[in-house]
Amino acid sequence: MDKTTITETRKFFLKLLRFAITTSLLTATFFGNSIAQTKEPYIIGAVLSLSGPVAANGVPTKDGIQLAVDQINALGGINGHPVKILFEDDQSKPDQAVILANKLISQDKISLLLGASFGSTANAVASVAEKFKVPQLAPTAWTKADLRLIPYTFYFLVDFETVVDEMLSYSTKDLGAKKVGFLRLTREYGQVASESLYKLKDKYGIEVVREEKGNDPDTDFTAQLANIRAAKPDVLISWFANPAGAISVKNARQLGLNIPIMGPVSMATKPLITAGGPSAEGVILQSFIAADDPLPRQKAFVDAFNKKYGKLPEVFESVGFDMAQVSFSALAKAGGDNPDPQKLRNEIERTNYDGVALIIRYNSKVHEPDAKSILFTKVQKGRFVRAIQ
Amino acid sequence: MDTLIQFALSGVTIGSIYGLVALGFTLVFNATGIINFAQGQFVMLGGLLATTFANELGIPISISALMAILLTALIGASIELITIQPMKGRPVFTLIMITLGVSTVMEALALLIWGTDPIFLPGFSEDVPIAFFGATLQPQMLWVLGVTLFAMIALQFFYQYTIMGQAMLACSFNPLAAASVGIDQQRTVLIAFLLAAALGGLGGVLIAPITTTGYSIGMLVGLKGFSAAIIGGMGSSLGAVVGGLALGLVESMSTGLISSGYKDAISLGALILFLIIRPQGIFGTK
Repeated sequence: MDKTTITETRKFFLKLLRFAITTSLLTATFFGNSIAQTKEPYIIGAVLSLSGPVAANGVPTKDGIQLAVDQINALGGINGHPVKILFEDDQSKPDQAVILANKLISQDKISLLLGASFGSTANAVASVAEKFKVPQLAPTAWTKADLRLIPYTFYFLVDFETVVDEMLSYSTKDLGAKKVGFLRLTREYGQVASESLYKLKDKYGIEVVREEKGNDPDTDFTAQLANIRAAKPDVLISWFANPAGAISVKNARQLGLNIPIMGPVSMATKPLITAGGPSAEGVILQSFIAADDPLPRQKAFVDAFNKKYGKLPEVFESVGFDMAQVSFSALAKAGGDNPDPQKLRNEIERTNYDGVALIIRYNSKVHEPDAKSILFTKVQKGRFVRAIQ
Repeated sequence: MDTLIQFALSGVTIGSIYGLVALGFTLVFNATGIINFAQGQFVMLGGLLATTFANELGIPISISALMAILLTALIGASIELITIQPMKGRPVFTLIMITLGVSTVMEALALLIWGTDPIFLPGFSEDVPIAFFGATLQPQMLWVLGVTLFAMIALQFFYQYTIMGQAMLACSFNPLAAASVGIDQQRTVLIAFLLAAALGGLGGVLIAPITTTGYSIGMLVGLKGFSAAIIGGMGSSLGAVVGGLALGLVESMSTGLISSGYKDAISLGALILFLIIRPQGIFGTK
């Protein structure tokens, strides 16, 4: 072969290459839409407590997430990527939560992890999330100070010290109470609340007349409440998750303890009413939503939820919905077929979102929702209504 | 002082339920030598069935309770027919493992049917607390205690004065000899399971208005009932109830005076203590 032939061949190949590139680009432009339809789905994993003592938080969270996923898929997904959600039940057990988080991350290749449902499980899953650098959006608040601000974990409940602060403000200003009886969970959730209570008591000039403890699977708090009754408090703060919370309220009323009762968000779930029965009437709860009387930003969600499930949503349905929305928006901004976890994390950290339950202003120093999200509700005729109009 | 009385009242209430569960253990044990680990699940089943009848179908509470107990008894008998009878002649240990399996299956089915929410059952009589030496007594507590004592006496009578009761004891002491004098062992065991399930269901119906009920309560209640039976003396009806009351009182006192965290540790510690020091229990003879 002489020199000219070589040049000719090279030119031919270059032409061919140019042709190929142009054609593929044109195809992409013309048939872009149909390709988008078949884009790989974004896979989101959720480890929630769907059975066991914390199921009253986990099951509604799942319903809220499912609604958000159905909505986004009906609109064509995120930039054409459909969303696939994988739910796993940790049975309210931290060891199960860790196994399931590991499985979702390494086998199912999820981009994001929703859950886990409460302190012990979320703390356990946080270690997995940090190790694999997969963002965890947890429908709880921090319960261990050293996990309050870690790179890959974002909380979806207002931190419990702020909640106690708001509760004390409510009980002193609106209820005129000075002597607090405190019945709480032994586990870290109750521990954080207890520390906050003692830290804040002087700020509000209140006295904690008696503190008693109980556990999630307990079915009787009469003995603890008898001790509290003997100390003559003028408000009872019961710090549990349902059903234990509902039972504590029931026991208090059975003992004739007819003082106002306040509870945290984990008691603002349906079992308080179904299991607490008439005893639950008048109980004041820290919540984020009163579905009977929604705020303007909550209205569309309440209607959509009611249409899909034929009932009004409560607080964890809304929290689940917000978690899903924040993850969708991060996926949309991070983009690509296989979103980079680092990028995703950074997008979540920039979230500025007025959600259904939560007002979220995350930044590099804050991984928890804004205190403004808090709304007090009370039980009236078997429904949660806004406590202050 | 009134606080102590309150602890005692709450201990007697929960203790009565443990006693009823222990009576169920006693019945099956006396007929077969089996420890029926599904006994606690009958408590769960009775309570949940009653909530369905009363809350969902609007049937009056007394009729709902009776229907729930009857249905639980029938389910208990069916379980015996399906899982225990075909295993006739197998070692007792195998049969005990089967009851453990049955217990897990029942819990899973209940989860599927009734879901995870705890459910409330209205009380049998008006829910107005009665003042009692400075403590408050719930009307339902009287029901629980009264029914448990009645069940104990009835069972004692059954074993001492009825042919069926004595046949049941005979089956457990010496199955071969029992068969040779013409006792139909299969029928006897079937009736033992039927009655045990009825007692469990009764316990479930009684306790649901006080503590609420749910799919997961069976295992723990069963364990406590088993402890009560061991403490009282396995096989003795009086022992079952005394063991149950003692366990309930210890639990409630330790919750009130020490801390609830130790409640289960103390009550199950008592079980271990009895197994070591007095394995035949308070009223057992051996």
